[in-house]
Amino acid sequence: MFAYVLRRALWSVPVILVSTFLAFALVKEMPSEPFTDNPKLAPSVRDNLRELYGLDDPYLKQYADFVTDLVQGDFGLSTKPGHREVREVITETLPTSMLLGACAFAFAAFIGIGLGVISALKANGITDYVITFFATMAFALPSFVVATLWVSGKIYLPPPIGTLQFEFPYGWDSWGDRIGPILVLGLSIMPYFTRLVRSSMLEALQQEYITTSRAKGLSWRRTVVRHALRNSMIPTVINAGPLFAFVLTGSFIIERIMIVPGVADLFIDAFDSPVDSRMVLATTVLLSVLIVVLNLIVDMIVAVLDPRIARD
Amino acid sequence: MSVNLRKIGATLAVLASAAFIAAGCGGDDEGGGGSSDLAASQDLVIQIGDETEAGVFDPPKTSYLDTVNRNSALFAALYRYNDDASELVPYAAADLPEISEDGLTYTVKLRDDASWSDGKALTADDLVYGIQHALDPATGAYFASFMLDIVGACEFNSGKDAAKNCTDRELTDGKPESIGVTATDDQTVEFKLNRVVPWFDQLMTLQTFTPLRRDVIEKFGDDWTDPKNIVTSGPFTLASYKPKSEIVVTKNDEFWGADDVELDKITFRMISEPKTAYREFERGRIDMAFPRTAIDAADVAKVKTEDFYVSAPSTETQYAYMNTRSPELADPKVRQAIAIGIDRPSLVENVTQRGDKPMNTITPSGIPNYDVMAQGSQDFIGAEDGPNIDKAKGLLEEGGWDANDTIDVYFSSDSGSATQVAEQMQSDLAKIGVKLELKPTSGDVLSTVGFGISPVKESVNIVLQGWVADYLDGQNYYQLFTCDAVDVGLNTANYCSEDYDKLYAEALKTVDADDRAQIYKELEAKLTGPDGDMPAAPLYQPTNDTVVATYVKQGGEKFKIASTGLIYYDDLSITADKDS
Repeated sequence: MFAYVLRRALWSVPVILVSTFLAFALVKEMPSEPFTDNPKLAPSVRDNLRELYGLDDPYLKQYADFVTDLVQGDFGLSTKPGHREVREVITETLPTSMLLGACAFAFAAFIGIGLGVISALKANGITDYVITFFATMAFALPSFVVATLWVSGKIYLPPPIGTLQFEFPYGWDSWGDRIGPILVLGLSIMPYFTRLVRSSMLEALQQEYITTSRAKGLSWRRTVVRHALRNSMIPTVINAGPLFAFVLTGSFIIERIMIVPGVADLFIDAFDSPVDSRMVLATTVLLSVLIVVLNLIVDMIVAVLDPRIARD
Repeated sequence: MSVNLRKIGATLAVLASAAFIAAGCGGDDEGGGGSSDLAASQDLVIQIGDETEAGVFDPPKTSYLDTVNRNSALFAALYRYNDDASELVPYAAADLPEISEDGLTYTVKLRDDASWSDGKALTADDLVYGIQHALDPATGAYFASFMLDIVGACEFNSGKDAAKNCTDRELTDGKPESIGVTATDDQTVEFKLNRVVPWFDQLMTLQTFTPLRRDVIEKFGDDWTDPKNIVTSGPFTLASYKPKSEIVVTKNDEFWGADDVELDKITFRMISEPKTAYREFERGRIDMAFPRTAIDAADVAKVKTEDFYVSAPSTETQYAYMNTRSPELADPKVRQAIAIGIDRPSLVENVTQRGDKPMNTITPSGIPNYDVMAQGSQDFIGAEDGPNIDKAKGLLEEGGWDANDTIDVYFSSDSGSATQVAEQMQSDLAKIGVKLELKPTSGDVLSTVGFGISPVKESVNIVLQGWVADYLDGQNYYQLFTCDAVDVGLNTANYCSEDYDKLYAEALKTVDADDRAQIYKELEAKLTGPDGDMPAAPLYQPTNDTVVATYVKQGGEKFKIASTGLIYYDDLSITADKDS
């Protein structure tokens, strides 16, 4: 088991290195140079800025500097006006996004898995149809539409219903406000859990070991929890890793619309021209590290759920 | 100023609009009130953008309009504009600057009752240090660009590249002490210039001319703007800063005019999404929004008639620059034809939908002496009347237009309504027989065709771009068409005329504003007049607008939006209507 984890962990190093280089190369290839879109800058001011960011250094030196800084936890300076330290900007905002993501994820997993199990157990019954209908709805509605409707406080329906007015919480000042973004973000990923759990559970329920354990006299409840659910969790966990990363990256629209002071919004601003190269790099690298780490954790959990995997 | 507010998250705005259109988005009347009694609590909540720069408090490092303006509550500028931005009024300065006869020396006397929030007196040395800090290459201030005509400023700002960048002068040793800004006594600062800059007094309203405390900055380094370290000179001082969430400033009792400041506290809430900002206003959770950040163009029609909606023309322009070096547009008659073939009234009514003003001049209204300058154009374009198709066709014929030619129009599709503007131009000009091909691009990618860095390439025919006034003098606009501006990509039309440059050089030497306006009038005639060269077709003058609850008063009266978009917070108060 330890060797397995170590092997996976060592594999992450080249993955992260390659992703930093790819990110760096792609940002460099963008047909965009900071400080050139502003014709109001005097040559001396533009020179100062280019020097401040080392933009005139050779390509590989820029990459080496970037990686050296990165290893020391220094993400460099944002190329947006005011050139704040990227690390500072990220540490100001990342915890909020993590909290939002974690809460939404927990909510989605809890409700989603529960609904998935019920759906599978009552397969093709009315409960199953209702759950599937709502899961599909939540799946189909883009989160920015839900977030916008949520915040707008109004929805126009055909007569005789007319305008529906409501006031939902949003924002991040108090836990009362936070329910809004957490629910909206949670709802956007909940169907993944429901659908995954439902299908893998249905598959598990048809396996011979279920019949065997029932034949051995195990109660239906214990059979479902100890065998069916446990085995159907493997694909769910494998998919949950990237899903968690998606929650963190995919929440940017929700953060913007629902006034959550998170990091995801920075990502959009960073791509707003002129591209904030260091910010884009930092967020990209952070996300790839996050995905690699999450995958590592997923591998470990899967190894626990099914020890055969680690032995291979 | 380089206002990027509207660019922020344009795509998102579009997505969100779609949803909001579905949701509907009416405006509840905030209720007006005639009472001038002040409210129990003078706490104002205003929305601003949440871009990275919102966390920047060091004055010369700021550049976005809302950040610069928020800082004006904290740091007293030397000068401000009056209500209609027609003239300067002294603020931290005691009087308007004394200008020497040769126009090269400006003497500024500071108020003798100005002091810092820690009680120390504000002195001439603080101003001298503020200038040095703004010019320091390590500060990387964008707006240092406007200070380089001060003796020794370019040299200090350029460091080792001084010989390359500062060609128009005798070089100094490049040390900060050699900058021509000196304290002659505790209250007096003398500015020495390399050349006459008739609008130099206006530049002194900028954030780079802010007195700053050397002891505080040297002691705390970059952390000097932390709420616990910061020392301010304006009507407010920084109480707290919650990243991407809110900034709270409270009244500075050491401020010289503290007795007249009504507001006790201002909360700047960072909300980038206009739809959400507007909703927060509806819910009464913000009292006002920063100009242009709370209402999408599509929603303006819905709130236009409400008491809480305020708007006024901005000192800003939108042009279609026509590249005089591109073979298709080499003939001035062809450029004139294109200029008068555009339907401006329809452009502002149907496309931008913000109450913008059709334009027939290079300089926008709101620039002092605009009326004089505008005479130069003789309304050749007929901005308010719509296109004159017959006249345009006639001009095309005179200019030898080849109907097989296609004109490429470059514009930044990520900002505002440029795409729709280009589309309308395409259909308008098709009516006079000019075919346009649209080349949408991203703002900074325009630099790949030369914009902003080098002469714009010959293959580029038209570029849609705007210009926001940095100071209120016609020069700010007429500089865009000089030969010198070609090399740096500022003169997007690549227009170069010896006559024009000669007149322009004369204007630069003319210190008297009225005399200068007469020269500007001639410059305007050379550009947009009947015999002009029309290197750029003025399209429209954008509008500044916002929502302000009717209980927020400015100098005791209804809030008026300034053409500069700036808000002077010490003039604001909240009436008792808010409590009811």
